[in-house]
Amino acid sequence: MKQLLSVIALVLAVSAGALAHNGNEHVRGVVTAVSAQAVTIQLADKSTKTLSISAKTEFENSGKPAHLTDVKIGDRVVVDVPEHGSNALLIKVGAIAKK
Amino acid sequence: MAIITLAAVVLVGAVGIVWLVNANGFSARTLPTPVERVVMRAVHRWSVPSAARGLKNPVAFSPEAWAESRAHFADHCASCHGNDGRGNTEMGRNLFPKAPDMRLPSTQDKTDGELYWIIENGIRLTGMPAWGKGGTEDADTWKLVHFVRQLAQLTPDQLKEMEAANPKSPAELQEEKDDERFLAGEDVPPPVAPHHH
Repeated sequence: MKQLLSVIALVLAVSAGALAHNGNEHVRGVVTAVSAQAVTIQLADKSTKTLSISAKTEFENSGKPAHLTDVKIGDRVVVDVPEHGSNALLIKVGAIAKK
Repeated sequence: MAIITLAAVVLVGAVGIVWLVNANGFSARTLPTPVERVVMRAVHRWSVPSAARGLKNPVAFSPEAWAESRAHFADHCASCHGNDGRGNTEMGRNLFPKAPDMRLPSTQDKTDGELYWIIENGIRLTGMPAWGKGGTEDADTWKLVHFVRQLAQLTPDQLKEMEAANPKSPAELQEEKDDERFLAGEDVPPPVAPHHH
């Protein structure tokens, strides 16, 4: 009898449940505008994307910690953003884009 | 009379369950119901033998053990539990039951022996696999017990270091290489949005 009740309880528990996607995106491009609040980047397809900058945004240049002042118009950057967000988590600064 | 009434209640319940299952199916995306939570708590409690609960951690805590456990956790456990133990990962969120926030009392109130046993032997009917061979002297597992106890002490730098030790897919490794080439001034294909499956 105890076993039967246990089975019924388990079935009820499982069936009651019937009633009731962590990666970041990388944005690569060339900086066309930068301020303390945002950075605008031109992507490979020539479209632009503006990403917000906050106190939590980190900066990196050649693998070393950098600052917002290291981001300049014309720089190649790779920006980590949350999958469905537009706030920059990490901005990696690279070479100056070719003219 | 009582037996007939009980049988009728069971029959009606059974028909209702069949109808509900047929109409809704099962999904791991939902939260466990209160009844399921009670059953699962009992299963978790029974899954650790009483002798194991009293086991003491034979590995002394040290900066070296702490560093080793961070690297071990990042490589083997973080896919589900997250480097910070909150379980807020794609897999952790979508398991049934979901990966727990291990900083909370539901995990921290367990004894060292219970944590060791769970890491070594897993938990049936959950996503937690058995990582060990079932003995009581696996030093790496005991170091992971230290890690679980130290979750609240993790610093941003340590979390970043753990990120570098997280497993990466071939696509992620390729994207990292492409990022480096792009930053060095080469032309590379546009990045691909992360996959979910």
